[in-house]
Amino acid sequence: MDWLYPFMDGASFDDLNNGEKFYARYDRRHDISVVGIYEFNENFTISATWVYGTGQAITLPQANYSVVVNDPLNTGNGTLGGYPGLTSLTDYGTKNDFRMAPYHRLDIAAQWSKKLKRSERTFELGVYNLYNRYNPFFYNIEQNEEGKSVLKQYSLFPIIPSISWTYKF
Amino acid sequence: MKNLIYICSVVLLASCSMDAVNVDLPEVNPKLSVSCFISSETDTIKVAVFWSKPIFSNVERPEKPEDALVTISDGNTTASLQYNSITQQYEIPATDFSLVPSTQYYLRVRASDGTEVYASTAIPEIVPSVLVKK
Repeated sequence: MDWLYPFMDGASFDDLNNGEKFYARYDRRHDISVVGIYEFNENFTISATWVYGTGQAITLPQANYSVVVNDPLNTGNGTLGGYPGLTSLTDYGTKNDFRMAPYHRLDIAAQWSKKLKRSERTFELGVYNLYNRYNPFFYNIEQNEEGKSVLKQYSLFPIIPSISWTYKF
Repeated sequence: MKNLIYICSVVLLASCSMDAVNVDLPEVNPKLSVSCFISSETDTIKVAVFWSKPIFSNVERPEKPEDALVTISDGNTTASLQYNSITQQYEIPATDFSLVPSTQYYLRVRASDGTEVYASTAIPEIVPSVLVKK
């Protein structure tokens, strides 16, 4: 699919990512919205909306590693395992190299309207995220029961039914 | 009314967590991490060698490899550093390999699986101290 995006393979900056190209934080390859509205009659309407968006490009840590900090005044016989100064650093790899899972959901609604003399009232039943898609809100690295690191996805807004009553005058 | 606000808050602000699915986790192999500081004033040349610990990979190696081949060279003479289990570093006394300012030194570390890393540097020339009389 890369041939589809000859001018969208990221940008490069001398001081970032070792001068190599990388995707922007909000790089979104696909952004689709499909809206359908059907009026059965002037009082009853149903509608549906489906949205899709490519997951955002983020940077995930890849590995942790130890390095020795130069500390000439420390003889190396201290409490740091024999090292003059030891610290742990994180290897993040290539910038924005990880794609979050894509975002998509389907919303549906049905509206019953009634025109009154000088006003209009509308009753609406809707369902947000009809197929209860768990879209990623953020990721967190956590330890599982075996002590291994796993990537946890946190999601908001599962399937949510809604009801509304509107009165226009 | 208060109860309604509480219920709405719980419904709207509730989140759920699950193992990330449909994503490609960065599975990388361990990399060598080497730290060494050379000075013409120290009595021992020390090199610390570590394997990095990948976060999402199942590849595991001892953090401190003891069987690496660590050599230092000035371009003419090459010396091998031995692992010291007390300091957990590769070492060689400065009497066996002398360090001289303004000379380029090359460090090479080769792990048992063939992974190699190189580095080179030179010790700066000693700056003569200047006595300032007031």
